[in-house]
Amino acid sequence: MKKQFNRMRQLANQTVGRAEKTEVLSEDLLQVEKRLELVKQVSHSTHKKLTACLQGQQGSDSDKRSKKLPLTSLAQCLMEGSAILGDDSLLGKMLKLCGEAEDKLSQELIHFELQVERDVIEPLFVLAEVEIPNIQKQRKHLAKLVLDMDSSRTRWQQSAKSSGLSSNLQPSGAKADALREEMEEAANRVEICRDQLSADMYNFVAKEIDYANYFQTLIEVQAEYHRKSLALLQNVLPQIKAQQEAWVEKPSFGKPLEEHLSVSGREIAFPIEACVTMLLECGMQEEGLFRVAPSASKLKKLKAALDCCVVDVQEYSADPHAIAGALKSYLRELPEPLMTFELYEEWIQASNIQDQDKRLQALWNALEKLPKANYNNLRYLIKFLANLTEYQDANKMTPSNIAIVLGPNLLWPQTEGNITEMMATVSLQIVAIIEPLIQHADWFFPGDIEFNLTGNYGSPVHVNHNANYNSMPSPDMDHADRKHSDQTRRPLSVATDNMMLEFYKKDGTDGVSSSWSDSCYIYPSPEDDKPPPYPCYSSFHHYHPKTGPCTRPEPHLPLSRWTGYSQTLPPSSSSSSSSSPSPQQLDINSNLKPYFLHLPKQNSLTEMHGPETNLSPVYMKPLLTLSKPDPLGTPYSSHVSVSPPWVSCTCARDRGAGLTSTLKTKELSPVSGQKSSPASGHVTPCGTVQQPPGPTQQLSTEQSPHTMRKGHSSEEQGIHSNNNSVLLTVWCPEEEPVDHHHL
Amino acid sequence: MAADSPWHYQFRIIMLGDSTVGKSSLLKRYSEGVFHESMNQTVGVDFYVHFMEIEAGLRVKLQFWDTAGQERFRSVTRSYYRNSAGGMLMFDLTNRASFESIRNWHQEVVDTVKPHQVVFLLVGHKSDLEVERKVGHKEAEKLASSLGAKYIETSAKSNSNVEEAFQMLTLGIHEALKSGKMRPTEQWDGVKSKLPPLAQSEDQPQKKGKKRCLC
Repeated sequence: MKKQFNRMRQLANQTVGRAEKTEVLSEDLLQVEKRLELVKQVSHSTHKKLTACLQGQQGSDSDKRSKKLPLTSLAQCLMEGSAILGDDSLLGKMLKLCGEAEDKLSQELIHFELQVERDVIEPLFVLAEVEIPNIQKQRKHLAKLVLDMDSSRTRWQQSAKSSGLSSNLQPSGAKADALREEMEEAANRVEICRDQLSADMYNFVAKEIDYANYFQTLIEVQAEYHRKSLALLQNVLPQIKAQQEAWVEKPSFGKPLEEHLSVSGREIAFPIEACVTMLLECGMQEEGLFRVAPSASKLKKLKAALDCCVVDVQEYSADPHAIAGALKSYLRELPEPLMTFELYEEWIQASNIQDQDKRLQALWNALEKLPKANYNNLRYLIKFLANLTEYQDANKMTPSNIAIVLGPNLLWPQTEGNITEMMATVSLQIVAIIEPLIQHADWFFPGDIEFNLTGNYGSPVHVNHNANYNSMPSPDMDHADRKHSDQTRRPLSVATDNMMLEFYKKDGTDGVSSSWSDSCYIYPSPEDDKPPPYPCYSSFHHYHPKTGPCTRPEPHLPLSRWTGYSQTLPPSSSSSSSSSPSPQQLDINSNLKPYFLHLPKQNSLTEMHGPETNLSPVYMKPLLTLSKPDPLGTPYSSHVSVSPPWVSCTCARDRGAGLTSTLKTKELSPVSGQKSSPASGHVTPCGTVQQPPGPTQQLSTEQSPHTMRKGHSSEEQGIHSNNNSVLLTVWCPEEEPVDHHHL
Repeated sequence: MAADSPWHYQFRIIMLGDSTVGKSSLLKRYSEGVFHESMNQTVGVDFYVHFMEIEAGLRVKLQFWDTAGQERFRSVTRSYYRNSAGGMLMFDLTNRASFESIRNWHQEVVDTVKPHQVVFLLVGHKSDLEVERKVGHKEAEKLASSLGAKYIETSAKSNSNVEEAFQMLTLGIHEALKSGKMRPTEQWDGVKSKLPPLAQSEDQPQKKGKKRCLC
């Protein structure tokens, strides 16, 4: 009690400076002491903030921790979404890939956080809350001991002084000894404590590098975490991209042709093929096809449907204008016109050539320069358009009409800036390019074309994609059932398919197993086989069988050797053309397709054509030659020798092919059926029987299809003159237009 | 002085509507009195001229800009909107889609000509094909009034209401001029005036002399 009182007094005296305070720590250690407090504060707050950075629940095991991570629940959500959408679909696949990636990321995050916690947060905590407080506790203890020592010393000094003053030294000796002993003991304890404290403090200073290391560890662990996460993400990214690229059903509208073709693995752009195939089924007779504007909402819907390769052909069969509009839209929205920017000048220059033959030659040359993809698609389209013109009595779409409507969608200049001017002036030139292409489609693009190339309007991926909604046909499924499921999955093909079934029913053949691609041909109906309305309209078609890409004939050759149609051809040409067909011809002819062998309704067709042919001998339907009694009783090849010369000019191939489909039959109408034999290498012209042009006259005036057509078609001339007047007015729209009428 | 001039007013009128509704046919019937079963397609812009006496002694020269309905030519035709005083919004009574496009055509013109105004007339064409009619008279009238236009049904083939349609539109423009909603200016080719009527002569007396010198 008294001791306690003395300590208080000592402390008070020391505080007010009356008593001297013993400093037991060195200057260095005093500095360390100050630092201790600072480090403690900093470590404390750092620990607090760092802990706040952790997303996982602190202290719990990694499993429990991972469940609490937002990233984990995201991953879980993605995986669940993938399960719902089905990982056969692109979105489902993406969700799955991302879900897996996020899950791995969350694992990495947990690993990282555990490491940070173990190697950084814990040590910091220990430093701030255990080590430094311990030192500080010891420091306080030391201070207490020093105080004790000081107070005992003071008391000893006081007792020594008082005993000295009272001069009786001895009696106080025992007390003084006790006091001194106490003082020495206190000093001793101070000594021990001080040494201990000093050791701890030096230790603290020495360990600063360890403490600093916590932060290095933090950064290292963090870097490692990010590195691992990055590697993980980079690993999954190619997979995701591959998925994206592997997905065939990319939107095709507005995408470069090449890209769309390579992505979808197609030769003909999907919208082109789909629209053409649909139009072949339901639009060929439609008046003003490609000209009449479709309903804007229908068009939008069809375009969107085409973009995802799901087209309900039934729905649009009633609206061919929407289909035609979608096709026009596709062509127009191509980043580069189908006939390319690069060849723009060349096309225009070709159209400016006055000489008809040379112009056709120039167009041919430009065609040859088209990239393969563009060439194929243009060929496909032009062949279809040529086909369409054969129904022009019903649809009223002449080559010129089609060229006006479609031309500006096939070719335009790169500098869209002045599209206004371009459209007004150049579109006429473009018409002058497209029209001959359509008119002479068989000359520009020899050979026939299969319009329904893929038949299947969904990519394989697409089929899988829909497997979520329609059960996939199993191998043991009934044939009819499978057929049915095919139909539901490929709505576009429904009509064709049904048609095909009908076809084979009529034919009495089991055609169910035939390939889809066969079904593109419209079954010939009697109505379809009316003679074309304008026998002389495009009464010039020459044909060169395509023997190979490099052997496309020089167009000027047939033109220069062109002779008019007459029953008595010059001996030379007659003999050359009536000579036995070249090997190529036979090759092509013998290249029979499966449906070819059926020769559906051959008899009825020939019967039908018989009278027509008698009425107008101009029509050169090869079917006629078949229906005629064959004196030699030999197969096709013998016809060559017994038929009139103009028949012999018809390529043997066409005789065969003509039986296969209406399209072919139509092509073989007089106007288009004229084919020159490759051996003679020239074109057999066609005129009317009533007016057989003399050979000299033909040579002078009918050098090319154009000159001939001009003479025949006043309607065509009308168009041209009309267009010319348009050209004038459009050139100077702001000027006073020339009045058509009296003032 | 009015008598020696071939016209006192010139109105520029633009024909609008989807392709094949019969814009060119209607114009041909009106200006040439003929009807062709198969018309050639309009490329870019074509034009026709016709004279009309809207009042005794007041002759108007109507200048028609016949636009191509084809979508591809839209950018061409658009450049003709601004200098038009009248717009004939045409649809095919037998083609529902063409009727539904009318709003778009109207909106496009209104947006393009701002702040100028165009007097519209809604024309339901091919009224001779009554059997194939797809658009009712009532709904067409409703549309017309919502566009602030009058409505008439015409047929170039049977020559029904052709004169009337053009007269309605011309009188409409004349009304707009008289009421001051529209006035001829140097910068605008929609309306040209050689003989300013009363309503205008008060506003711009100097215009008369200036214009006279030019002819």
